[in-house]
Amino acid sequence: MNDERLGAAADRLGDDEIAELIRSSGPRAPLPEIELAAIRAKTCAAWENEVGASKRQARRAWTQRLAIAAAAAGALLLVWLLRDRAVPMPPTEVATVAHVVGSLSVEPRGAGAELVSAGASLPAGATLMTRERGSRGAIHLTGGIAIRLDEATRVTLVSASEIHLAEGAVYVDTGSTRGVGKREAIEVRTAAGVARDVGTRFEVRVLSGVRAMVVRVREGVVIVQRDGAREEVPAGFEGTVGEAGEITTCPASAWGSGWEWIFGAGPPYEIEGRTLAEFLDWVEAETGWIVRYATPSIESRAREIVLHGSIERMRPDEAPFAILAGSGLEGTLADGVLTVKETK
Amino acid sequence: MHDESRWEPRDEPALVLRMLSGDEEAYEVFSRHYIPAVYRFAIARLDGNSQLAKDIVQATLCKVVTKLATYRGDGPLLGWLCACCRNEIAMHFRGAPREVSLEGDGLDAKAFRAPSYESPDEVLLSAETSEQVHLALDLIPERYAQVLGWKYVDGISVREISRRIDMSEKATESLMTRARASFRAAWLGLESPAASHRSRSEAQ
Repeated sequence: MNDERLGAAADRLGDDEIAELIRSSGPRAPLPEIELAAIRAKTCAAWENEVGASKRQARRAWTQRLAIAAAAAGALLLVWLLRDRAVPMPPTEVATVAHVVGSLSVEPRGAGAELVSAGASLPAGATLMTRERGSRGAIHLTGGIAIRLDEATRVTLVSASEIHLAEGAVYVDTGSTRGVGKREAIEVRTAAGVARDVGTRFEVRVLSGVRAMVVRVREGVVIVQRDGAREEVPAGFEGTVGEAGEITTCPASAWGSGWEWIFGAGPPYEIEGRTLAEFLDWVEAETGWIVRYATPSIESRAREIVLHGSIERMRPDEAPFAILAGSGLEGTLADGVLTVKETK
Repeated sequence: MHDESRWEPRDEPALVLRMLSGDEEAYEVFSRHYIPAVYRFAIARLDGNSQLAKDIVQATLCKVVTKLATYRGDGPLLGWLCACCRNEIAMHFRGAPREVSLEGDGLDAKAFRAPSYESPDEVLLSAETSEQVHLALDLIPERYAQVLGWKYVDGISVREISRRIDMSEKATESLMTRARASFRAAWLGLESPAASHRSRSEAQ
């Protein structure tokens, strides 16, 4: 479809007509996620068989992430040895609330639900819920891992390194690839299986009404387990645990609209006093993009430019364009890579 | 902001070419947008039988991905997929009389039946147009479909939407504009001569 044809369509289908079409058509019926997951897995296998592994184009970002994953995997054994030797003394407080959009309620073990706001401390055994439509939240586990809750999510904090996801989806950011020190590993348990990180960012979503889950990995590697089955899901892939316990993996973009819910769930980012390079590191972590500097001198400048002001109410996929323009630079986005260069 | 990572339905011929070359991101776009749409198409013709719809869509798409090279790009990709799905339904019920319309080569009006979830006050459009609207919403980025649904189906104000998505009202208006443009492109992509007429007469 070309732009000319689109222009003609705009004349024929104005905003008011679109509004009326959508209003009169009513809500879309939700589709069963488990059936879609099964179809995706089968279709993916057929497509991969058709195009052949040798023709598959690995994303630039993907190969980089696999390298990070390999490095993280090397650290796995050490992390687990240390973890197993530690005397299990779960602290009373296992997390704090970092951000709330809409309403976030908590049900302490054996107590009734109550609304909480940023700063509230959460004990082991607490169950968090985002029941109201559009509500999301973020918490920080005491081990340093950040977790965001999508709407319609119910999750119980077993400890600072283990959570049980009953409904909805969580996004886990261990932060371990951003040079902020080693963090504790985490297990996300669901009725359908267990997702265990190896220093990574990933999403776990349980499929409503069935014993199944989907683990999408943005960075690093996640080990997915169910009964005797075990699969390593690398960045750029999603692993689906079906009702029968089968685990299938398929390509899944590490960036794009499927991840946008996490933007609203996270705490605001303060740019005041930070360097442009620090800001772009944050953009990379939030969006899943890869930031590239066109020249070494631009990268050096980015480490020296100090930012002032606020990006409040700007999304992580919008803010860099405004910030770069204000810094005498510009960014172009293609194929998940944000290239920072001199303004033309 | 120009974000090339966002999928727009107008890119269909390029999408198919990229899939043929083994591009995983292209497959991911196909998987996220077209599989739900084909499933919605199938389940509306199978009396809501989700298991059968899964089997038929699975069989359809497993065949389709081996025949991508035959997609000529002169019609909507979803129309082609639905035609293949329609054939698969026909094969399944071969010999068993059934109230399923199987003629046609694209998203023509005869192929559509009323989705069972419509409430009486929503039956302002013909059933096939409603289904086509929902298919178009499946094809656009979910965030766009979500805000369009909030605004036009749920009647939520821009101010409330901006609060829900934690954006300024101005940014939300801008998002709504992009969402409408994306829907328009998807609608046109699906458009048959009948739909072209409907977009003028029924929506007013």
